[in-house]
Amino acid sequence: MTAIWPFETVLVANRGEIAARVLRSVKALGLHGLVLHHKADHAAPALALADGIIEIEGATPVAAFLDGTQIIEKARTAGVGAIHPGYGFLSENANFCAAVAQAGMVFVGPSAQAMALMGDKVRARAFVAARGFPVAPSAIEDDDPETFADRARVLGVPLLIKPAAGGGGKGMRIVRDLAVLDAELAQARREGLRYFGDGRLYVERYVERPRHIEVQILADHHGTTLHLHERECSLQRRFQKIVEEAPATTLTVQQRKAICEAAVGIAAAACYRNAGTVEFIFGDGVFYFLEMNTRLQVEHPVTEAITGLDLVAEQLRIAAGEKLRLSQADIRLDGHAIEMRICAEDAAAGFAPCTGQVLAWHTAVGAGIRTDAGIMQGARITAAFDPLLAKLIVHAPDRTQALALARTALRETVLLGCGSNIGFLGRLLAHPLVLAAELHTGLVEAELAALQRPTLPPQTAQAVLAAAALASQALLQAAEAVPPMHAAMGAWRN
Amino acid sequence: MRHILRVEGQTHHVALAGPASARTLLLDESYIAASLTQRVGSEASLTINGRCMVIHLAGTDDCRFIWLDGEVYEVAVLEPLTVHARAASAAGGLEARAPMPGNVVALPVSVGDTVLAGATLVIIESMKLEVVIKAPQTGRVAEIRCAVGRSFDKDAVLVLLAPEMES
Amino acid sequence: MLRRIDSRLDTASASYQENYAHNQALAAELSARQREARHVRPQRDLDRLSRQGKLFVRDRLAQLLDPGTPFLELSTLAANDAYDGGAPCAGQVSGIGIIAGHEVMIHADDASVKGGAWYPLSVKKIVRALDIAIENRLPVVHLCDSAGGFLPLQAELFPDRMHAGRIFRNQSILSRMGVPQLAVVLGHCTAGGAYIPALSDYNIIVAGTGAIFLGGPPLVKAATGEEVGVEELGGAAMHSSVSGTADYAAASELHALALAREIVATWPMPGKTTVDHAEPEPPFYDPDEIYGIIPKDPRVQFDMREVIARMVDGSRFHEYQPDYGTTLICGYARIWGYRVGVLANNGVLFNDSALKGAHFIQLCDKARVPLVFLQNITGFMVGREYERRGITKDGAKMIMAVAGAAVPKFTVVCNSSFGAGTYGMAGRAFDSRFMFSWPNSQVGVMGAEQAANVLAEVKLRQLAREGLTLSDEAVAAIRDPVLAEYRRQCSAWHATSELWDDGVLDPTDTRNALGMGLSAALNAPIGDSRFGVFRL
Repeated sequence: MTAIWPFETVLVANRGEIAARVLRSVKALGLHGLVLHHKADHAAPALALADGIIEIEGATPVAAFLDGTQIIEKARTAGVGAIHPGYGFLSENANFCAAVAQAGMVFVGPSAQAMALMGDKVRARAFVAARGFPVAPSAIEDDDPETFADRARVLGVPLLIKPAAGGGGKGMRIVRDLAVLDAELAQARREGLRYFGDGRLYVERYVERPRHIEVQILADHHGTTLHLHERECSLQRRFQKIVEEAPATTLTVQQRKAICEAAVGIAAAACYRNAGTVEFIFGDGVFYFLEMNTRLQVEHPVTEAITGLDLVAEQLRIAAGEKLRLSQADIRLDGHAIEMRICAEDAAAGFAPCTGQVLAWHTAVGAGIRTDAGIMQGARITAAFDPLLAKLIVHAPDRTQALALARTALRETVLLGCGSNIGFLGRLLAHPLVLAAELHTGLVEAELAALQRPTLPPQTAQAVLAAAALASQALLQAAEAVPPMHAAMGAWRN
Repeated sequence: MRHILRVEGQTHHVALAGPASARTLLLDESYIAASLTQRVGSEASLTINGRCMVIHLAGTDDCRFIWLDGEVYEVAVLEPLTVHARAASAAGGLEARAPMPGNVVALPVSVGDTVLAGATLVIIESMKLEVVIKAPQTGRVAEIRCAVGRSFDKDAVLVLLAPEMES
Repeated sequence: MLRRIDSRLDTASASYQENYAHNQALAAELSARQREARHVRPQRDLDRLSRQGKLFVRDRLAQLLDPGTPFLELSTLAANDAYDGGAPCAGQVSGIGIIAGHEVMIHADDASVKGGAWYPLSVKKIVRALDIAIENRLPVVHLCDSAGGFLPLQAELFPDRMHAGRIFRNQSILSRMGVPQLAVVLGHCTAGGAYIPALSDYNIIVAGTGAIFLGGPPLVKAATGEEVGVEELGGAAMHSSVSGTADYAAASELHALALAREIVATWPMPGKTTVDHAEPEPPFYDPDEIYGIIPKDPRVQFDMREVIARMVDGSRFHEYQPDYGTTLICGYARIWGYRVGVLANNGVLFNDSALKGAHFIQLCDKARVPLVFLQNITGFMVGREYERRGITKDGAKMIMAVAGAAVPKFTVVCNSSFGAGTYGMAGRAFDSRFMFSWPNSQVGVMGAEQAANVLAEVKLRQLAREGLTLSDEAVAAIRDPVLAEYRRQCSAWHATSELWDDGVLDPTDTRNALGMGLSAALNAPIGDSRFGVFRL
């Protein structure tokens, strides 16, 4: 711990589980932690942890968290020295990053230039390819909008259409039949405009049954760029990750070395500072650069588990100008970690978001089990925000034991009052393909039917109905209304 | 007349009977000896025909959440009068409800408009999925209970139709 | 606690076995007759109900009553020996059940029997149900679904004092007493039947099947030439929104029955009369053994204490005057926790037993202890010695005591019920709240054998005066038909058919029936203890 920090007060410009998680490290370092709050969030663990709360407003709750001007102004008034953006919201917004610096505060993350470079997926691809790192064959619209569709056609199917200004898997479409290419391109353009304000596209050759492998990067302002090993994030649905693991056990030592070193090379070439993640598509023994995420990611805890490091603490130290105390050789790889994203989604109804109120919330406890929760008893879960409620992370000596520990921990995680994917996660982690680590990004979609909750067996139905009946005031009152003698006689007939 | 319990789309007729010391559960055709003891918080102990199990319970009769063996079930406990009266009500075909929670993206109709069955009433968006809500039958738009940009919960009535006036 | 009766019953004896087989067969016969009367209907009648969207009356009852609660059905076998057996249960279901925790008298038309038409015995059954409601202050639920009076027998169900008009008079009296009534109109309520919902405090009408009108469409057309349909004349919509005759319109039978339950739930819980009550205890001896106690031959004597021991709580009994008037057992016991005074016959009534009975009835009346009469009586002792001792006076004292007792009385005809002994033992005319018979029982002015002998004797003396004597066969030819007819008239099946009782019970069901009867009776206050003049 440094004796002197250039900033005393850190604002976590985020909400939910990540806000609580970042605050924990902020306070553990002896710093003062503030958090943003919108009235749509009324019971949140982050609020209890924070030393102070900055209220924000907006046309919608999400709009409030995207209002960089308001946030910076209120942060300055509150005497904030550094802003940690979390993930999502403004975390990869280069303008916000620059504005924070201009306002005299430290942005806990990379520079605006690095963010702008990697934020433009087309530019980022070109940058990475030019430096000799592997990228998937592609057609970029910007190169020549007139011939874009034809060049895409030349690539052949299967293709992946991506918005140039996109990220986090949103707005992407797979095309397997050239006959629908034009229609798909048109739809992707509309969505790109709607979600990212930018309709530009690029198209990449799609690897069938690809694995999503990403590498955690940490770089200081003194010339050191390290990797903290890779993560496997192939269990996804519609490009949203569901379960992440570290390390990627089915890669060979050489493959892991190649990917990690490529990631370090890419980050260094981009003059990347602080924490970031380089994402790759891996299939048929080769890997291609996918994109770089210029922020701390949701699944960072699995890396923390196997390396024994606190990534947020490292981020804060780097932002404070400290030199990284670790060298690449010092980075441990200890056992296997798995993270499950607990979301308010109904797996039986196409993962439609669920709403409700947290009537009961119990997390699993024990060695190797960690829960980062964005909810607490009494919290309202609405459609206002992302459905991620909590992350359950387990750490064990090997993958088999980690899977077993994950299943046990899931069974001990109780959420009542809002639908969730906890049951679905348990079934996913018991699926033979998952147990055999035969993962690919299409696995969940392909196995959806097999992963559905089986129909209620009669004995279970009996228990559930009995519980509901015995807990029901209405049924109890009806039974109690019967005079004692008649109750004792039961359904007697003469 | 028994209470009506619904779970996973199935309907059951249930009552509690017998003296307080030895309650019997009347569940459809079966008689079951059962008891429930609340423990701490949402945890409870359920005994059925001598078999004991740990469960978690929360909610109200409108929606009782029950955790058993790693899965959560939702049970609605309904008064028979409510169910039979509702079945009689003619409101069924005139309500356009939200199939999931979300936000309104577009509202192309106004109060007083005549719409044909299948016409677009509302376009909603939920987790980046767009869904078109259509008129369940031909009629007149009587009430609009949503607005562009505002959010709503699952099953919320978004638009109420009135039957087309007989000429 | 009272002492337990010391049972001397030898369940291994030949007589026990013989009696057991005989009585169990009778119980099985009762069960079969009831099952048939309750459930067996021509398929076309059940189909017709289905087509009309109507539930069978017993399904309506199942929905109306609280789940898992008892139902004491009265006079199930009414009309079983009448109308060529064409009116099972007299087309009515009546009984006491629990609705939303309230004890309620239910009267329900059975539309699967001749469209629910009222036969003379149907009217008698309804009037009896309402009489019970009045005496015990029981709220009433009427499930109305009747085609009206059975016209061919109108002279036996319409004009007299206790005929159909008495139903409406009883309803009015119940209302005056502040005892609530609810009618659910599940079919047509025509002419007189229309007054049942009209005279009820609350009524519900089912849309599409329920209708209320003083005259139906055919009658209206015949009377004034007006042509009007059922719905417009007296349907749910019109009566619940225009005339105000109906309080609630229900869309379906289930809706109506659910609504009925909610209405009953709003009624105030009556204050119950307090009598001595303790925690109930099942009998120590097995009630099943009663089958082996009652002799196959009704003339054989047995000890009623053995029956009492298998009916009362813990088989406990405090006998009063155990050494005096030994042909009448008197004593205190509990049934389902309620203290009761029990009178039971161990032979004919003599002077001393009649006096003992009269005295014991007064003791119970003063102490506010309900009375249970277990009849096994062939009559008072006759003969010169007994007349000189005043057996008629002493019998009169017992009758005066029975008639004057204000506490609730319950009568069970366990075996014989002949002659004036019936009166002293609270027979039908003496206002027991409930009167039940066992399948083996007989009731009449005298036993069938005796009656047949007396009639034959009269005939023989008449012929002798004309100088004729008859052969044995000729005597039998006169005697046997009389005997057969008397046997039929004395049987429990005939008695219950005519509603001379409130139902035939399996002996092992008697304890529960009395328990429910006692509980129901305590909804009414117990009047002051006053008696007429005892001829001393």
